[in-house]
Amino acid sequence: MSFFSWFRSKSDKSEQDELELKGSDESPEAHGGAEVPPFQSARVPPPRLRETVPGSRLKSTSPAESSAAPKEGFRRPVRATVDVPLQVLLLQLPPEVTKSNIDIDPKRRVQIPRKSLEIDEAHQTAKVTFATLFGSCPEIFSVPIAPLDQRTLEFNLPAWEKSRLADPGEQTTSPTATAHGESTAVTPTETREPGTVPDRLTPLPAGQLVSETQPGPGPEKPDETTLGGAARNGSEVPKTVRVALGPIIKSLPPELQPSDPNALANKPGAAIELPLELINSQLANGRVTIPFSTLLKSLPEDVRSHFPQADTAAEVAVPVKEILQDYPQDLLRPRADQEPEEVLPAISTPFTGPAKEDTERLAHAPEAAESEKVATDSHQLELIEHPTTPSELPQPASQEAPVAEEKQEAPEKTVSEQKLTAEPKPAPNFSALQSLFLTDEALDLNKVVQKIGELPGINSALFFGADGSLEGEPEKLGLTQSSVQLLSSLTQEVGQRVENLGFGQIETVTLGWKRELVSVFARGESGFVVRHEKRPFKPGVREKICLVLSHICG
Amino acid sequence: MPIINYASKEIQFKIVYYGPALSGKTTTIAYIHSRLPAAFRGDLVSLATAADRTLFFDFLPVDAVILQGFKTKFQLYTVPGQVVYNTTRQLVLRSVDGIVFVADSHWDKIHEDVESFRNLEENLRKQHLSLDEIPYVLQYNKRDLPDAAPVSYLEFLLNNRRRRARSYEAVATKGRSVFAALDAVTQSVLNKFIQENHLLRPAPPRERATAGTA
Ligand SMILES: Nc1nc2c(ncn2[C@@H]2O[C@H](COP(=O)(O)OP(=O)(O)O)[C@@H](O)[C@H]2O)c(=O)[nH]1
Repeated sequence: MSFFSWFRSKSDKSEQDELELKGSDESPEAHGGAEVPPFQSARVPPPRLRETVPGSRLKSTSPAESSAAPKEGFRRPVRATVDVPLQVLLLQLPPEVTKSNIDIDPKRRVQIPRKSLEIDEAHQTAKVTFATLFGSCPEIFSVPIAPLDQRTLEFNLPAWEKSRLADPGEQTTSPTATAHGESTAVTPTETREPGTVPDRLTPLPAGQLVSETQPGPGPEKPDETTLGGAARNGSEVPKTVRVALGPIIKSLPPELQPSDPNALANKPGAAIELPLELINSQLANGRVTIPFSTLLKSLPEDVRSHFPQADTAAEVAVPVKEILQDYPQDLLRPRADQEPEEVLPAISTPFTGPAKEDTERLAHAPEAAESEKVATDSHQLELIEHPTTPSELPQPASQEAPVAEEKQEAPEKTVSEQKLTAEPKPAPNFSALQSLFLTDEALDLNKVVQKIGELPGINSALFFGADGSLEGEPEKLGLTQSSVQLLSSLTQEVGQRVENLGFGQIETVTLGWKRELVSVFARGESGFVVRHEKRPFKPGVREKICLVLSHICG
Repeated sequence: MPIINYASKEIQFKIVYYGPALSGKTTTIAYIHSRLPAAFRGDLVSLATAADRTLFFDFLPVDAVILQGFKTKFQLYTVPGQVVYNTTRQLVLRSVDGIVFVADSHWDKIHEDVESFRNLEENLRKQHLSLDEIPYVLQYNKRDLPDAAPVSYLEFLLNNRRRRARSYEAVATKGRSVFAALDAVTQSVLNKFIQENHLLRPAPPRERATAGTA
């Protein structure tokens, strides 16, 4: 048996992955427009039931509803839905499926499609399946309910429904028994295939997940629908989530690293299984940690022996990215009570024009088109663009003439002219640095060096070019041209060695003296040398210098 | 609450860019500043306090939206970089009219996004305000990063209030969706003001707003 043969194979993961990775095909326009909620098209179909709060009347959405206005000579058509106060339903819901400590607006009503109800006119009661109810108010359940769940809940019809039944003008149809699998949607577009999962994760209030996924208090047999046990929307929901071991090892602090981290981390298929309930509650924080002891426990004996046994109480991070690879997306479902974005009358603001210009400008950049839109349900992995350096400065559209245009307008050049103009690196556009230094003053290299020297905590600065040129006042730094050269090559040397250690590229090398520090920011053979107070850089100063440097050095 | 100047017939709205340190708020504001006509924008001012800075500028466009004869003027604010004192963040939120929450999409930063969002809610609460009444949009920034968390997860983390907020995938360094987010929040701010004061709506826009497509 191989070293990691205990790791379960994960062949049936593809469906989850597909959902996780699926991007939206919709054009940005499909999401946009002030009058169209950006998510509307990509939104998970609304639950089959709708909820209302008295006073906030929903617009009629079904043909049945829209035609509900009484017409003379005609019998009033039956309303497509029955409004039931949530509290009425809660009173009837068995405790083993009811979530404890629910904080629900008592005024809330649930609109249940009439045809999902089994109405007993004689007794003025109605029955609804748990599954139908779960579709609308999952937050009242302590366990997930499968769509095919046969259990029903009987409740007294509310007074207004009773009077409606008694009203001879109301054209009441014979009660329709709820057929499982039959659409209970208010409108055809609201139906959801059983077994389908939302194509986007939708928020739940923090802490909600954990309570929902914990088994109800003391049921005599474990509920099949409890997380990990079983079916939700017809698909199996595992109890655990599988997380690759490599990323966990990488994020362990040095003192908790195993004896041979690389061998363990790079072993293909190496993963651990973590109980969902340990993770659920933390996912809403964007960070998941587990006690080191739990990590150790989830490892097989032979792997565990590679880890130090000290400090088992320490909390170790489990990268969320890895968790979501295998996380049942179904559990991160839409919260039923979330209202869509407000649809407001369009007002043309002073920012509407630039927004439109940017869309057009970026639409020309091929890699931009896909992600230039309102956030959608699409997953990022399909939207990855070529990484840009964080140093890229924003460029006004006007400065970004399309390449084709530039070519057309450029006067014809002789070969030698072309050679001359092609070889030197284009001069940096210092005007783009104005916003960085919060100034309207025209800038050149000298002024930029001066501005860097004036940043908070910086005493003086100079720029050294690849050609050995210096800009600034080396004497103020107590440096000569050769000492600057030495600093430059020292920085390159340090950078090279550090990179070889696998720590990535370094931005700054700082040398300390008794009272002050000298830092070198290098990019290739050019860079800045700054003298500063013997303290860490003030917030944003280091980043600013790096930005300026990358702008100058291209 | 916007500031109404009866003498100059101006209504000034304050829009605050909020979010975790280094999520791209300054880059966003600097981009907006660089794109607006110099004649109508004030300088991008950096106000230094004991340890923190506040960055802001005014904008009174020539084609300002006119409400009841008053020109609408905008002030864009942020607190850049690492903030030492929460008071700085609280101060910047004073009299806020609209908020753009700039989240960092990088996996390593999403916890900070959540904390910052909670901090925003908390700081508003201290001023007896809430995101239920202050228009806000979410700007998921740094979508260009290869290690960006999926938008769906950011939505799960940040767009989980009772009323969904508009959210934008943005790359502030390129100006992507920066104006779209600002336009959206501005529209909400103006609509709220119109509604609350029972004002007549300004003449319908000649061109449809492009929020959401930029
Ligand atoms: N890759 C990338 N980097 C960005 C983006 N927006 C900002 N940055 C970088 O993130 C860093 C912090 O940005 P800054 O605007 O100063 O953050 P603030 O603290 O929120 O004001 C800077 O290095 C920016 O260049 C973006 O959309 N993509």
